Amino acid sequence: MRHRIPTYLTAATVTTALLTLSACGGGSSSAGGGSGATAANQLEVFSWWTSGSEDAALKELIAGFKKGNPGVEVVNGAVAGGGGGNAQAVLQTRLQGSNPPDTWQTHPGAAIGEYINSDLLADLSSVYEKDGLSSAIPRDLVTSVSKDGKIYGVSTGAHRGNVLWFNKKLTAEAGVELSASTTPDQLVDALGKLKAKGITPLCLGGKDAFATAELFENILLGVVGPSGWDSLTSGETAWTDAEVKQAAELFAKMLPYADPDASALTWDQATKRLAAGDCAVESMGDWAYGELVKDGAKDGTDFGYIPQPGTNGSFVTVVDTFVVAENAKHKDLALKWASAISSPDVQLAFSKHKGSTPIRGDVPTDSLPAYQQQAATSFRGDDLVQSIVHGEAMSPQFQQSFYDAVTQFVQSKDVDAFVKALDAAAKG
Amino acid sequence: MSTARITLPSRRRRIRYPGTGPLAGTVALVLLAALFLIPVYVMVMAALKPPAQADAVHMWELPKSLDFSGVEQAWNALSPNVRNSLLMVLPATVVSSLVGALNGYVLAKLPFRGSKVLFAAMLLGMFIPYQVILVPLVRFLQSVGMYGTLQGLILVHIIYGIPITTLIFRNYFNQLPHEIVEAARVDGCSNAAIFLRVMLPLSLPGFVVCGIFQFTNIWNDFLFGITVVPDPTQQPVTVALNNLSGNFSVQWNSVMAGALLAAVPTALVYILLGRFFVRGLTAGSVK
Amino acid sequence: MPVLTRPAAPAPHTTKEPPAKPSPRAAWWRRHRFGIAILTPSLIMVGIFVYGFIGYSVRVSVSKWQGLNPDLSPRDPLYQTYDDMFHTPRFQADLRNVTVFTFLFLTLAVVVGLVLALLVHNALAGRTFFRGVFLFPYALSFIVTGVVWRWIFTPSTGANLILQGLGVEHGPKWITDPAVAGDVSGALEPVLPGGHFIQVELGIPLALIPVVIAASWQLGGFVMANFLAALSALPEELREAAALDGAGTVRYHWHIVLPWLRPVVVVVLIILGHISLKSFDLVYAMVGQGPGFATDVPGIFVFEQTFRALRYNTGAAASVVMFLLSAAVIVPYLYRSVIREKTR
Repeated sequence: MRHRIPTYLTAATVTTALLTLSACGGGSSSAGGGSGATAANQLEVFSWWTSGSEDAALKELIAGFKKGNPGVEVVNGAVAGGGGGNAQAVLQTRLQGSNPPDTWQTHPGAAIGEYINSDLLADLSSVYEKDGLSSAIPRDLVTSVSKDGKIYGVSTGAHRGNVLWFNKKLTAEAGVELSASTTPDQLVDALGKLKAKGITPLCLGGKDAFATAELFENILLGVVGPSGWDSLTSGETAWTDAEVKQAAELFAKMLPYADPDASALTWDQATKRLAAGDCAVESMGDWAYGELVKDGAKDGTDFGYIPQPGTNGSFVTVVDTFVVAENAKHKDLALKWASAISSPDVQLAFSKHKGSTPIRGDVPTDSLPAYQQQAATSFRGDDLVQSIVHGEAMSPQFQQSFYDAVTQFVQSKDVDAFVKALDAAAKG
Repeated sequence: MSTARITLPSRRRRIRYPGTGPLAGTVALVLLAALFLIPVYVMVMAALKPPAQADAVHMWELPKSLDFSGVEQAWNALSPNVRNSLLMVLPATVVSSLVGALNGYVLAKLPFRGSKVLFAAMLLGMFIPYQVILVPLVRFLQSVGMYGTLQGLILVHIIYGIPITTLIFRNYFNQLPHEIVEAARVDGCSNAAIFLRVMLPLSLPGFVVCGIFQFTNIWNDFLFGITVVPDPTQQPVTVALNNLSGNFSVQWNSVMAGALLAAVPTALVYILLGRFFVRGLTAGSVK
Repeated sequence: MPVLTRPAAPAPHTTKEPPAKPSPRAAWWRRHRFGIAILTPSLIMVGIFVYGFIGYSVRVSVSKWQGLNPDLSPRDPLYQTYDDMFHTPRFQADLRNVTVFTFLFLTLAVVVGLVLALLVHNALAGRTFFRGVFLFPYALSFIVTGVVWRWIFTPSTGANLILQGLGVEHGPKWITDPAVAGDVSGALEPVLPGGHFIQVELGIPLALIPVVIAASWQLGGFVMANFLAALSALPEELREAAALDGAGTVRYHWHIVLPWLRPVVVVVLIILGHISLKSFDLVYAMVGQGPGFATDVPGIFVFEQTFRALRYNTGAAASVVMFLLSAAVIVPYLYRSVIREKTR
């Protein structure tokens, strides 16, 4: 029975021993947590860009930063998945734990406002001054990342949310003409004609709530127009307004034309179906362009695009913006990052991969594909409208309620319940 | 004790099953296996296609020509993180199984007043929804200086594994006849010695099940891996797997290939542990 | 230390026998100090990481915390967040879905696991192979298998193509089906107090069935492993005796094998139950919230409310409800098992 003492002790302390061991081990690799990201010459960049064109675009930003800051190691802490949902979870957990990345990706408007209001962000006004950014970027976009005269974000590119893509072969087959002057009602007629030809008229990837919400957002803008949009999102007009109901009715008219598989498809699968000729028309932001050409479809011969009917002259912005943490471990480097990624060269290289429009008005666009050139023209001349679906125009709480109301409406088609739900959400 | 007999599994004697020919069972097995492999077939096919073909539309088709770009991409993305996963999953599985075995032994064979209530309280812990405890968890780890470290992640997996491993072993030990413990005690064994020399050798199948469960769960965990360890070079393989897909674009061939690659270590564990699904262990010891 | 150096010569008496002199308290301590020493670290850890954090969640759930700034000031009335939440159709659908899903999934997974285990256990050859095949799905990441199953259950490209090959012209709508079978909400309304606030159909959402199949596929092998482990401990004598008595396969399984496996079924049900109640990855990747929230589950609700909508209080409230729901399922088991052990 000699070994009785050791076994007794070992058994009793199995867990505690491990605790102590690992606590000691923790100190050796890094101090105060955050692992390698604490070394002095490192910059941690957090985003939800991990694959394909997104990753390539992010690498352009990193390359642009490294050119001016040789010897700095960039830690690319990108997190994919769930439409940025996983990244949100990680970011918020880290913010709550006061351990923010040095710089991270967000959107202007309400999204960045959450961080500003919680005093989490560094003032980037000095970057704007030094680089003369304010004059190169549309005033609205500077305002949308500012509060009380301080500027908190540097934007890299703008996606357009209100684009209607269509398969040219199918529309020709059904004798449907779509142009920038097509009205919402004409679109409904066109969907009917397509259906009569035995074609699935409306491509929709409804597996994730945002795509259906995006369709409604675009329809809504087509009815209320940019000024109506502003008064809705600012709270001047109630969500029970007749025009919102009208948009909901229009939405209800279009839904029966949607792909019967819609709720099993992601937006990119729906876009692939458009390219393959399995369905004809899709309302989706211009990140769809990259998805279309990826598989060899040709702009102009295979597919075409118009602003969502009713929204010609408006550009729904989905802007990628970087911010710097107020208590960043490497704030000086992060400020240099903000400056580097806003240079015209870097913006152009970024947009080439990302498929978005450079934010700066002084970036030459003639090296970009035809679609992007056209989008850039629109961006520089049209009314800029902030997206609800992507969390810019309204609070995250409203955004979620908007998604939920749309999901509910797709089944119920109950216009009154729909606008009531939106109204309640807007009133908090 | 009976260790000698235990390492030598008693030779299986097949009793005739009146009414079932050997054929019926085999046919059923083959059919079920084919059914089970349908999704695996879809994955393998997608993994071997060029990106444009790897989607739902072409899911049933054989690849027109083999394309290993997805496999290559997945391998490049995943291999640096496999080491992290192994460093995490091995200690976490072993320790949490051992803790579970000890707890289970106490609860099953040395119960005391109130031990059932304690067990119940422990068991309820399995049902905590992980999404909502991330914030307090990260704060806690930070306060003890373990945030961002692999050790911190191991600790988290061990702790959240305690309820389930305890449950598995308590149940397992409950099945073993109480007389074994009594007999050992009469022989002069202490509680610890009974555990080490009697219960442990008898609990191989328990360890197999528990090990399979813990290894798989910890290996496949994503949420803790990504929130507790922000440094991409330290993250487990599931995070790298997840990052094969993007926000707005996914190449399914590399994701499918990645999922298959990431499953290899777990599958190997099943095959290695599977050998211990032998019978006659208890029977041999009771005799 | 002194307690440990006690001479070991007289063998410790069996537990039943009262010790010679020492006070009952000391005797109790001596008998149980080993067990208590073993359990204490686990209990402390579970206490902090489970109950401490749940307490925190409860506190958040009655607070005003929305947005990134922690605001733990209490709402008035305290239960307001819960009240609002229970009134949203989405959360009602979630509760319905998780109940239906858990019930169907547990049944199917146990049946599948049992069938597999019996077949593999009695296989003439290739047991390692078949065991590997059935366990393999469990090794795959839920996030990816969800996608594969979504493809399979997409009506126009998936399993329906195979069904067409077999002559079934119009296959089911699978995960795109918004229908709810066997709606009883109309019948409940007059009976149930407060029945009028139920805004969803109470029945089986058909779109959940493919998810049940996928989940059972993924976990069936694990259930099988549990049963195999138990079967390996099944005394050979019982089988011989049964054979000698001339019991047929059915009677042997009914009277000997199934009763032997019953405790394992309970463990399996608890493990599957906790996976089911918390299910997130698989459902999220496979179907998301589904048509009209037909496949939405509380796990997705918690995730979206907390991290997308920044409604920390609602997310916490939903998770507290999930936890209580689990307790409601598991406490009866514990109660029963306590009673059962007393009668032993």
